[in-house]
Amino acid sequence: MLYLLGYILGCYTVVAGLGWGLAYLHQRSSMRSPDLGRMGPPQIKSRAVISFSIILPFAALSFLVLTFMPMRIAQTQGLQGHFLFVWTSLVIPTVCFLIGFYYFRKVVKP
Amino acid sequence: MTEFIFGVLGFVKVMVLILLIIELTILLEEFLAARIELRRGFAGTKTSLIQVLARHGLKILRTEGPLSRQLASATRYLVIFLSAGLLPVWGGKIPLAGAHSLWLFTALVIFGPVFHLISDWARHRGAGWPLVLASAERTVGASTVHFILAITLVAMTGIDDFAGFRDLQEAHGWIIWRYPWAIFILFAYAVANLFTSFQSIFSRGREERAEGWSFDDLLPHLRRAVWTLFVVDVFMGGAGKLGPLGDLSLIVKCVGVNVVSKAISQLFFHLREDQAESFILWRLMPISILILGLSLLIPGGVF
Repeated sequence: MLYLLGYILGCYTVVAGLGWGLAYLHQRSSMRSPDLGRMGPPQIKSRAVISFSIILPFAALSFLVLTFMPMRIAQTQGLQGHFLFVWTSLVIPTVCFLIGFYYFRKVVKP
Repeated sequence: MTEFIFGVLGFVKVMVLILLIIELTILLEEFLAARIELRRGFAGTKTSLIQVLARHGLKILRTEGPLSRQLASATRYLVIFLSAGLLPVWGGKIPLAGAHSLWLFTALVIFGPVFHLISDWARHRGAGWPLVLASAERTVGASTVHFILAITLVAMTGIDDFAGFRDLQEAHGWIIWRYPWAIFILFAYAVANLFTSFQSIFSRGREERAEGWSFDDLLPHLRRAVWTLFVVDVFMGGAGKLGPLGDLSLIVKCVGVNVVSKAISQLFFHLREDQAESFILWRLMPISILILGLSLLIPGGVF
């Protein structure tokens, strides 16, 4: 725990300290830029792309997690003749995901 | 107290390695770009590595901003350096070793830019710099691919921590030789890395920077360097067991991967922002799922 604390505080001290020191030097040097009244950042008007981008990775992650374990044993189950298992645990979720994926693609893609 | 000092030293070691990779990469890229331009007959001045280095020094001296801005930069750096600390660095040693570090790394590199955007958005009351927005958007856009690639890597090797990858490669050689499917994962990680760090094949809009120079300008380079270190550590053997020569080879491999990937992408491709997103989401993701399925159905290494 102390090790991690040292790592974190080391980062803060080095980066913030160095940045502040250099900015202090720059402010007092002849290299400093003229103060022209800086503009603030523009307003973020749309968050649609971010929302869609967040939905898609988590949908993919849940699909993969749901099918991950069956995939690990699918080979053995298939060899033993349990095709219903392979069908219900792998094929159906994959088809559902791909339907959703291509519908999403159709809706979102310009 | 000794633990605390070791922690500070651990951070300094990681920082030195990452900064070395960044500086050597930019140095070589700028030097080669200037030489290529001259050779093509375009107007330009003959440059040397020393001149490029001096220009970088002057750029660093133009840092601006109050202490609060520097502390905010330090928080962003911390997320990146925490993810870098999970990887094997000098001599193959891991400063922040732990179980399931691959997942922790993936989460840190994905959520870092997103938290940056959220904090910026909250601080500026609904406003934000386009650079921050674009950075978060690209990272989140590529996160599906990152998740799938990480799961594929785990499914292929059965390992989800960097100490395990290091030990496996020390025993059996580079992962890309042992598992042929891993070459695709390496390629996909390289493309995602280029995409999230604003490099080369994906064009970058202008007027994306916040006011004045600050350490935030180095963030895309830092992210790129950490991803490259990840690629070299996981797929290309990292530092190995060669002592100081291994450390040297680690730096050479990282700089080589950066320079070569950028050179190849600049020579052969140039995609617009929308084409890049389309490529990552609609092409790379389904192929990644296919490779995941193949890796699970045809498991095992070659050697």
